[in-house]
Amino acid sequence: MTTASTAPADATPDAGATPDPAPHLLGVTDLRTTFDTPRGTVVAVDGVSLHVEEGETLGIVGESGSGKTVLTRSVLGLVTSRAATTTGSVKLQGRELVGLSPKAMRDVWGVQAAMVFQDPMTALNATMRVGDQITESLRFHLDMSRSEAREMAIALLRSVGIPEPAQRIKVYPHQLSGGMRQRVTIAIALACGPRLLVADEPTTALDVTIQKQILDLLDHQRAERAMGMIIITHDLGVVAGRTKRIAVMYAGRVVERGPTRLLFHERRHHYTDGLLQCIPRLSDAGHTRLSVIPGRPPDLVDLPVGCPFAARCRAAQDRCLSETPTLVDVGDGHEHACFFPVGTPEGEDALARNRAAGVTASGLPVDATTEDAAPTPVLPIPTDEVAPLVHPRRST
Amino acid sequence: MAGSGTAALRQRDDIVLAVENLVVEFRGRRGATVQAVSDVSFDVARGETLGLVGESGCGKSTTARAIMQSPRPTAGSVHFGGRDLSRLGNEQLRQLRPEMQMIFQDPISSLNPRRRVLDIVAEGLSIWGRGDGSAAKVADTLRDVGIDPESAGPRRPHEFSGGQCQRICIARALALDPTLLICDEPVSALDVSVQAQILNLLEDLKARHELTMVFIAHDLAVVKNISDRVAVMYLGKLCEVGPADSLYSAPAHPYTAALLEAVPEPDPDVPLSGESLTGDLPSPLNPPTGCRFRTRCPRAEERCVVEEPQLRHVVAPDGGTEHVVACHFPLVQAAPPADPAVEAAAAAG
Repeated sequence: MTTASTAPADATPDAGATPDPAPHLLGVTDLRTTFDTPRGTVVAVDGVSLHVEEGETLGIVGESGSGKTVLTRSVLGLVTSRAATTTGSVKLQGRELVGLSPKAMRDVWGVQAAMVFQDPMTALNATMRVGDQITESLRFHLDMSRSEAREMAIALLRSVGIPEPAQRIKVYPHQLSGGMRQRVTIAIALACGPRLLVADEPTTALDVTIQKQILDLLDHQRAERAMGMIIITHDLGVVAGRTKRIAVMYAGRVVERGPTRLLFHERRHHYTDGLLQCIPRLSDAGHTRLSVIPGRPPDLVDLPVGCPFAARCRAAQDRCLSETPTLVDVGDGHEHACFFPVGTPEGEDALARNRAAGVTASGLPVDATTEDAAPTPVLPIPTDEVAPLVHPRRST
Repeated sequence: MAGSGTAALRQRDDIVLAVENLVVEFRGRRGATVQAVSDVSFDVARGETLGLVGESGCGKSTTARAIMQSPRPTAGSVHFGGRDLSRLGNEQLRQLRPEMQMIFQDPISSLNPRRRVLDIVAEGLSIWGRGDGSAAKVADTLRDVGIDPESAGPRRPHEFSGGQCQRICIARALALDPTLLICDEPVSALDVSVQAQILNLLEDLKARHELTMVFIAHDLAVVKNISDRVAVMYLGKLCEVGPADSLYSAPAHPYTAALLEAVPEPDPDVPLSGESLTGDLPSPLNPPTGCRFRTRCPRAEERCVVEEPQLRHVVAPDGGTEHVVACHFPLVQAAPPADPAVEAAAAAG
């Protein structure tokens, strides 16, 4: 089912999304979501194209504020702000979703596509028993009787690994642990047998041990139901072994994407490289200095011409400031948007030039020896426009 | 882990913080008592970073708060700077407060949204009558954590990102020149890219200010990066304590091994381990008998049900003697009782 993406016909930058003989489960073409704010137009998603096939997992990776959450919400028609405008095309099982009314979307949500959110406590209704939250959609979409829905809810809870499901359908969310709550939201998402499951940072609020359980569970369900799945995360470690392909987002755009192994081993974009380098690893010795990505994501109002990552990139050259790179296919479905890619002669030259000059074209100091010598000075930050780099993680 | 005993305590002259037989209980409903921390002992030497690891609900935050005497522990002692904090009166304790500072998990909610950054950092100084020249001190401290006092000082916390707010929290903690810094999951709420910045910053500050740190986290990779010594907690008890190198290269407790297994490796070629810790932490209202980890332990046997393991020394791969574990069937060979006094004390404790 993935032959479409590697077919020779797909040689254009938008190859991943061009409609071709085999229709994708999900095909997103040139999706753009903007928000009108008093300060100007925020371009949260800027011309993103991607596709997901049945039974495969796509990882979407980026920092907070990179637009990954708005992207998936736009795909599922969940951006409800009146100030928002979404253009482009989202085709789910051949059906165009952009422009559908919320009423029409009701037949899509839960049945064709479902979502698992980051914080299970706010995703669940605190005043409803968990069983009722599962049966709600079963009764609405599948027209089940009360007793059928109840049986189904118990079966669903059992399948997501909740012990004593017949008793647990009667409890309220606050009576469950964080991991159990996330299992319940997964059961709700799976209730009507969706073909596409979108998990938005499903484990960020959880402990590492529970994170592994939940990721294993999602993967198991995807395989069993042959669903398409999208996992959104800021941690490349979470998607390393669990996705077929990964798209890296920055400033509302996909800056690199490709099959997971290629993306890790032959990463071309300096942002992907930075995201991977900053993860502390068990294999490193203690007190290893972590490499960091200096600065923070750009303001998405009036994004200047040029590569959006240039201000934080160690390889930035003059060209990066005057010209916006587009996705270039380098074979095997691996695409990147960088003029001076990591691991290529051009990239090495650019880095060497910047090291010699001590500064990049965008004015970022580069030290040949230490990566993060000078503390980052505080830049003026516009109020309310920068998404806080914080996930509301609940600790118990 | 489920282990008790004081084998984790060391005989050294430079111990800054020593926690002995710490117990923290909370009243539950209908007279029930929850023992959030039961009989925990460890110490931290000067300039050392102790990583405290465990799942949510294992009592690591409660331990940190008990060290700060807020609330005061139910039993046990906390020796800091040569004094037992749990025996000090409120005023004596207050006098010691500037010496020990804390950083919390959610940087945004731990800053008062209505106050300016300068005032937030300066508050401790003005309370302690160090107001003279405090403006310069505040500016220095902010610069120290990578925040520009000129442009950032008059702003309020909502104008900063999570990573910057955490820097401000660190500045507030350091303004009083503490000797002990307790970090309660300071990077758990941050993106990996920001997490790296904060971890590097803490390492720099520790060296520059000669800090002794207790660093709490649930991610073993993060803890390995920053810690000299690591203590693993489970359900209110210590499982394993040891030098970071020894504990990571040869985990002796099955729980430590399980935690290590769960850390996602950012490499698609590393196969995902099939084994994972099943189930949740049992309720601390009614902890399992014997070893508290036995309900989730792959090595549990009859003995684990009836007998609680005591912390005892193991043979570290590097020959170190500061690695202790509370397990009847450790993954690393237990040390022969070379030091009868230590072993006897452990057994008696």
